[in-house]
Amino acid sequence: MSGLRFAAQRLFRGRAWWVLPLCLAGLLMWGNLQRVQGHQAMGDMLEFGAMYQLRLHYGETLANWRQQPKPRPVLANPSVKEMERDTDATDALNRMVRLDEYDGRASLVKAELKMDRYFLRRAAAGRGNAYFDALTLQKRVAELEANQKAHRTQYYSRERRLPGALSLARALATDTPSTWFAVLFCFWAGVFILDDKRGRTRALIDLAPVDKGGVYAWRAGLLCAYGLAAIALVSAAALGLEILIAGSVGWDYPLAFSPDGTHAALMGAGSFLLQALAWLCGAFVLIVGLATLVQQVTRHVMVSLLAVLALVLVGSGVGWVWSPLSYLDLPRVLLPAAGYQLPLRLPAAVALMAASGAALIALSAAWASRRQRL
Amino acid sequence: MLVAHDLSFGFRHHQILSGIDFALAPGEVVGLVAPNGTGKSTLLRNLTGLLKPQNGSVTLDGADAWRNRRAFLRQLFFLEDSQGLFPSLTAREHLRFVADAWGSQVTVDAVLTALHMTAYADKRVGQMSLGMRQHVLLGMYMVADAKYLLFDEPLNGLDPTSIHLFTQIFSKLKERGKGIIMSSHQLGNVTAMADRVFFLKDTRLQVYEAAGIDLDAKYDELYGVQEADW
Repeated sequence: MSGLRFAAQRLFRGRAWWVLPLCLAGLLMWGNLQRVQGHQAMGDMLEFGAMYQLRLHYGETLANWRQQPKPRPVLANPSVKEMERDTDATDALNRMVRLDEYDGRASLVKAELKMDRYFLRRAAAGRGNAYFDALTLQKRVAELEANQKAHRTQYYSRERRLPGALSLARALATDTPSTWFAVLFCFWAGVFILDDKRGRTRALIDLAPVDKGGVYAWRAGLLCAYGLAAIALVSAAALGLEILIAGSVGWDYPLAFSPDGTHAALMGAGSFLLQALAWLCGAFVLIVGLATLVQQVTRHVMVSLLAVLALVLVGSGVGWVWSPLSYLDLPRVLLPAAGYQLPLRLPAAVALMAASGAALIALSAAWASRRQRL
Repeated sequence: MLVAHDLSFGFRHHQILSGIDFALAPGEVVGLVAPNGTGKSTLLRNLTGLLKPQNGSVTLDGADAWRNRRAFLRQLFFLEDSQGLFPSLTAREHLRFVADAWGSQVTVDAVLTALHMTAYADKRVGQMSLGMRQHVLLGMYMVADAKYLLFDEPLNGLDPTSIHLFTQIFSKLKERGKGIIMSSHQLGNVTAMADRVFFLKDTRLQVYEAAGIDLDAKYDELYGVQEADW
């Protein structure tokens, strides 16, 4: 246990350990601060158009399927169930808006109305998409107008007070690219893993008759434990703050996850949060493993950091199917339609990343034990 | 026995050490003397395996510095200077790590008391003066209780009282059978403590019995005294 104690003393006695939670909090809160201060209407958001397209696509597909002369049994076909579930989810969303369960969300109705009128004008002019049926749209505009009149809904132009879970989910889904988290993890883990090797303090550990692999294993293990705790605590704190501001949780609120605006996946805000946080944890362990391995070949801090960063960015972009690095791009894990098809989804993808990180740490430790040098 | 055999080392086109051969027995104190920039620290780093020699080998009681690293290191303690201490850790934490790592029976408190360090034992090294850090460094040598100790300018930054204390400690380490190599510019202290003196001259070692030479005269003979041309 003396190895663990000494590693903990070196790790947490410095001043840089709080940089990770501080930066994480910044990444989680920045998008929400921007949203509160900004003038962005919900209808301007990428996810709104994507959700609309998704509903339209599913609606059409479902309608076509129902019109077939010999349809398959509804409950026997999982893809149809999926479509129905998603359609139901959007209907539920609309119901919530109509019932004015949350006033801020009412801007969705206004934006929908605006969009429907726009499509209606295009359809009437004979331009634009063949998808849109002018009669359906006319009916829908009438419905929305009636809804607006009947409920005397106050529509807001800005989206300030989203439910807490939805607000944090929105920050993770659209306001902060997953690459930013990966870059933060690369630098933070890289600096801490390399700390024993650079500078003149290296000699003391290098000349101590201790297992050098154990030095790395303790250090990486502590770093992982601290990083996971920081991710969990900062996320919980951010969620708590959002809930305090909004006054509601909104755990089951529908969220359309669509980073690129062309594809969307519908899920509950709470479900998305859990998946995104699990992904953050898996990504952190994987990057710590990578940093531990890379520093075996260099003790130059910038070379090491840039090497880890290059591996993460290139690895997540190239998209080798079974490479754990491919899963460092959150949208591609949650929304395969937006990119290459990865064989694993969450939580299996998180398990792959975490297991790969642990394997890299074990490999580095074995290597250091064999060399008996830092 | 710490044995260096045909050791040579250089940086690119600059040869620092050539054909270094010597053996250090337990209980023997060797002074390593040379002007600045000659290669004293480089020799010590080669002996401990911090640098890899181009040729030759270093063994300690049969354990090779590179092939049997842990067995080699268990019998040896070397830390070049107090810059190698962790600024965020205290003196007591450094000593405790060394005692654990080297499996020493010497207690941390005994060393803190012997070096009069109890007043600042729990102060972070980064907040200490150079003299205090030198005390921490010597304390680590003591608490490691290794068979062979390599010092690089251990008396730097010390006041006369501390130099006296350190000299006493070195004598006691010798009495306890420690083999010591000590590089130093303070020829008087080397003369008082060392059994043999190693002069590093033109990449090679010249070995003399300390009792048989006038150290100052030999130093002047080998390196000359440079007059300031200013």
